[in-house]
Parts: sequence; C-alpha cells; structure tokens
Amino acid sequence: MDEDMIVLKNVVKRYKVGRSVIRALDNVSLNIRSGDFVAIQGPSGSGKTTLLNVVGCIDSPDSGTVRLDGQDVGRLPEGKLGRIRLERLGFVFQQFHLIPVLTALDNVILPMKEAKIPRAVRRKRGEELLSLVGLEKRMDHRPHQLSGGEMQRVCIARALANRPKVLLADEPTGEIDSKTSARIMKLFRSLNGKQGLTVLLVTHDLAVAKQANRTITMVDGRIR
Amino acid sequence: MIFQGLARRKLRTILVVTSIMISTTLLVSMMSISDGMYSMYQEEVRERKNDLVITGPETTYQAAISGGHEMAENISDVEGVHRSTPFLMEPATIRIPDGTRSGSVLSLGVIPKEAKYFLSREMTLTLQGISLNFYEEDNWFRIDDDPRYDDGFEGKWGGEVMLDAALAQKWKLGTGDRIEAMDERTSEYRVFFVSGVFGSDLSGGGILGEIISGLVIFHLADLQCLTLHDIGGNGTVLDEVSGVLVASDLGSDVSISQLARTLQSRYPFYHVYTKEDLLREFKQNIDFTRVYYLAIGSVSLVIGLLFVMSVILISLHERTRELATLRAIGISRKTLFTMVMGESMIVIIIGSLLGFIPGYFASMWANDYIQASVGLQWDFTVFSSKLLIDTFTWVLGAGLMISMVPAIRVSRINITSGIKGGG
Repeated sequence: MDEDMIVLKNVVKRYKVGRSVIRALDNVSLNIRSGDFVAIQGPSGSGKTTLLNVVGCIDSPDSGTVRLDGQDVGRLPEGKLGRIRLERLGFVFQQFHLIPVLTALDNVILPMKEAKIPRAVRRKRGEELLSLVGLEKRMDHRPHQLSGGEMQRVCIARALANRPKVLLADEPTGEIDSKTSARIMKLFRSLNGKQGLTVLLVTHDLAVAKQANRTITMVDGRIR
Repeated sequence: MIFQGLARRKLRTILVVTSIMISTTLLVSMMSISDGMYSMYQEEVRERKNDLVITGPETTYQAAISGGHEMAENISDVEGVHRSTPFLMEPATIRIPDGTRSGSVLSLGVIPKEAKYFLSREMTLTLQGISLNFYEEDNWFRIDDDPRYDDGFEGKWGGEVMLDAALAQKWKLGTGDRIEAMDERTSEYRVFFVSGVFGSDLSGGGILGEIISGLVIFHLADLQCLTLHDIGGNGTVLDEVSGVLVASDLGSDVSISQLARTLQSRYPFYHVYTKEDLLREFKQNIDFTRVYYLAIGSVSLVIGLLFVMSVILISLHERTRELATLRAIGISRKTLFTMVMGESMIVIIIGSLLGFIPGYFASMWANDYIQASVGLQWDFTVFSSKLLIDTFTWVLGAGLMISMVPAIRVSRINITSGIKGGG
C-alpha cells in the first residue's frame, strides 16, 4: 500500500491558443501512493483537468516523466495507452458521458467487451457492479430514463468494470445535487477504503475535497 | 451498439437506406440494360445454325458479295462445310394491288430449301440480327429453289413471298393474298403471291416501325432482280448478295476457326466471321453504350453514397463526445473504426438489397419502354443472379470506400477536445 502508484516529475504541458502559448502544467511534480485518495482543487484554468488527463493517459506531456504503476507512460504509443486506460484506469466524468443508446448494464459491460472478457462473466460482473452502486433495479434503463445521480453511479460502475487500479474523477459531483453528491462521495470513500482503489478526484467543491485523504491545490499550472 | 444506434436514429436510418435503395434501383436498371443488350445478341448468335457468315468488305448490310449463288455452291464443297447458302437483305417497295397501302419494307432474299435448314429447333430463323419465328411448319414457300437465278437471271420468277405477322395484320393480308413489289429497273410493280405469314420480333411500332413498314421474305433471285443486284449495266451477271451463311460439321471451335481461316484466305476481299468474331465485334460496338449506362447507374450510386457519408459525418459530429468518451475509457481505434464501418455497411447492405425489388420492376419497365421505342420484341434487359451479384458487389465495394472516410475520422478523434464536445 505504500508504493507510488502515480509519479509525475517536472511535467510540462503547453497549449497553443491563437498566437499565445499557455502552460497548462508548469513543471508539475507529484507522487500519489497506491490506495491514496487525493483531491485536486483550484480555480478554473489552473490545470486540474489537464493534470487528470495526463495521469489518465488521455494527454501526453510535452516534457517531464509520468509513471503509472511503475511504468513510464509519457511516451507510449496511443495503442498501448488505450490498453492502459482500459485495464488499469477508471474514468468518471462530470457529465457522465454514458452511451445513450445502451442500457445501464450495457454501458457497464462495454469496457469488459473491449477487454475480451467472456460474455457470461462480463454480464455477471456488470450486474454485480450495478448492485454495488445501488442500481440493481435500473439495469435495463437507458441513460435518459435515469436521474443525474443514477447516471453518475452507472458511470462509476463502468469505471470499475475492468478492476482498475486508479479511479480518475473529473468533477464527479458537478452536475448533481448536494444530497446525491454526498452519496457519490460515500461510494468513492468506500471504494478507496474497502477495495484499496487509488482515487484522484478533481473538484471545485471544498466540501467534496475535504473528504479526500489529501488535497492538492493548483494555481496557474503549478501545485501550490 | 451498432444496431441500437441505427434503431435510435430511425428517421435518419430510413432516409439513408432509402437513398441507397434508390441508387441501387437505378444502378440495377442501368446494368440490366447494359448486360441485356449484350446477352440478347449473344443468345441470338449462339442460337444460329450457321457457324460462319461471310460478308462484304464494308458492312454486313451491304450487298457487296458478287456471285453469291456460285460462291455458296463452291463453299459447300470445302471440307468441313455442311451447308452454305447466300442471302440478301435490301429495302424494297411494296403495295397492295388496289393501291390503298404501300411502303418500304425490309426484304430478305433466301433460297428456301437452304434457308429452312438454318431454322433452329425453336423454329426461328436468325439472319442479320433479326429473329423470324415460324408459327407453322407448312407455312413456307411452295417452290424450294431459286428458279429466277437459272439462265443468268432469265429463269421463271419464284413469285411468292412471306410476310411478317405485324405487317400482315397492319395491311390485313394473309396466305393466298397478293402484293405487288416495285422493280427498281422499270419502276413497275410485279405481283407476288403471299405463301405464308411468319412471326418476327418486329412489332411494327417504334423507330423501326417508322423506318420500315415490315419484313418480307422473297426468293433470293427475285429480290436481286427487284433491287438491281442481278445483272450489271453491261449485261454481266452480278449475283450480288449481303452474305453467305455457312454451317459446319466440325465439332470444335478450334476446327471452325481453322475453317474460317481457310475461307478467309480463299476470299481475301470479304470478311469471314465466326460466332465469336461477331460477338467480339458487337461487344466493341456497344462498349461505349454499356459504359454510358453503367456511368449513369454509377453516378446515382455515388450520389447516394455521398449522401450516406454526409449523414454519417453529421451523425458522428453530433456524437463526438460519446465517441471521445469511448476512446477515453479504453475502446480502441480499431473497435471504433469497425463500429462506424459496421453502421454504414448495414444501411448500405439493407438499402441495396431493398433496391433490388424496385430495380427489378424498373428494368422490366425499361425493357417495355425500349421495345416500344425501337419496335423490336427483344429482351433488352436481363435480371439475372449474376447481375444482382455484380450490382451488390459494386455497391458494397463503393460503400466500403465511402464508409472509410467517417470511420478513419472517428478512429483519429482527439479525446480531450472531443470530451469537451469540440471534436
């Protein structure tokens, strides 16, 4: 439990906006241990989501090193990054991003299908995961038939589908009411506490951030 | 996921399927005309009893072979030749004796006893591309040979003709009636006895109906005399014919080709065609037409597929966030590529299969229309399994190419901007 799951060393990420270049991540170094629950806070444009994207292998750094579970992922080709995202990472988005044409269960099964898990196994696990997030009676509902909180729980279940080591959440409570938000955070704490899942969560909400074991604040692309 | 996506966007799916269906309908009908023209001629040539045809140097329709009777007799003695007979195809002017009806007809001059051999089992005589169907076996000339040819075209006239059914019906003529045909040398009319009526593929309408009133078969020498192909100005016997039909008793195509070469070297100023030669020449002649019809069909297909591509691109643009999410959670480029290809190929396959049904009716309609326009009861279109397979392959191939564009775009989607909805 005490080895480093995520290590960032002098990571720089720049974006070109018109003629000017913005340093979204400016020499960021960070260590997150396995089983840690870390919240990243900061104002808009401070680089929180960029940091999450770099850790989540969605974006690659311009310079610096990103290590995930002991593997340098900063310079890997897209095919391998995709495999890492599929097998080792789970994503929870602010706007859920569920596939509208699929049922809750099918949304959860989708990453398992990509990971070539046998049909019967993935169905059973999908049902277990939806039960875990309290949606055992909503499995056959499509996203538009679910509330915001329910959609977010489906999103969490989907993120857990391939038994990831790290759960990355970008403003997971941003689109839901405070009561549902508390329930979602309880679920995150439970996953972190009982399953030892490393959680990295981006939030604006101070109350949400306080529920993490550790809080990192970002300002202008730097960790303060 | 592919099927759910298509089912959810019902109207869009229906529109896309419809566009492919319409394109396929046009492609099928155009290809059926293009294939039909060739297969019709192919069938007609294959059914012929003659293995070879000898024609003049210019075209098959000119009476450019001199000494036709003698040539056919000489050819009959060549090893490998079973029978040979000359024929003449010329326009002639005929009228009913009371003068109430007259017109130019396409006339065929034959030696009856020889020509009858060239009737196929289906009682069809095919000469110069026109099929003549004989309804009854006794419906034939009463004099078997060609008496007028005797003594340097001084012999007795055959004096009988056979009329095609369309002409007979139009002019209210039947067996035993009389018609008059104009002798071009004197411009006087000569009386001929109608010995029978035969069916032909001329309907009496359309373009051909406007050009020629009908088809009449004469004794060869009678027609030669009427149309100035018997004796020249200086009194020499011309005996001009359009061609000589040759039936071989050699079995193989190779032997017949060898026979054709032998006859060609004997008659270097004329053309000796085998059936394959005729088909090849016809194919060359109609290739442009076939390309034209195929181009029309293909353009309609391309338009349909471009519509499909634009609809898919719009659809994918709307689904940018969804697709970027899929990439973010680890769905591979290959899976997304396959998914988009699958979605578009399903609508293309369904559309093309549905298009075969109206395509069938469109090709039937096109056949009726062309028959009425041309005035020939030929099958101008075909609707075969080969046509369906060809069309399906063509649509599928073009569909695959077109579907690649959105599929490649999706597989290269930028995840970070895509999740924000930027694509």
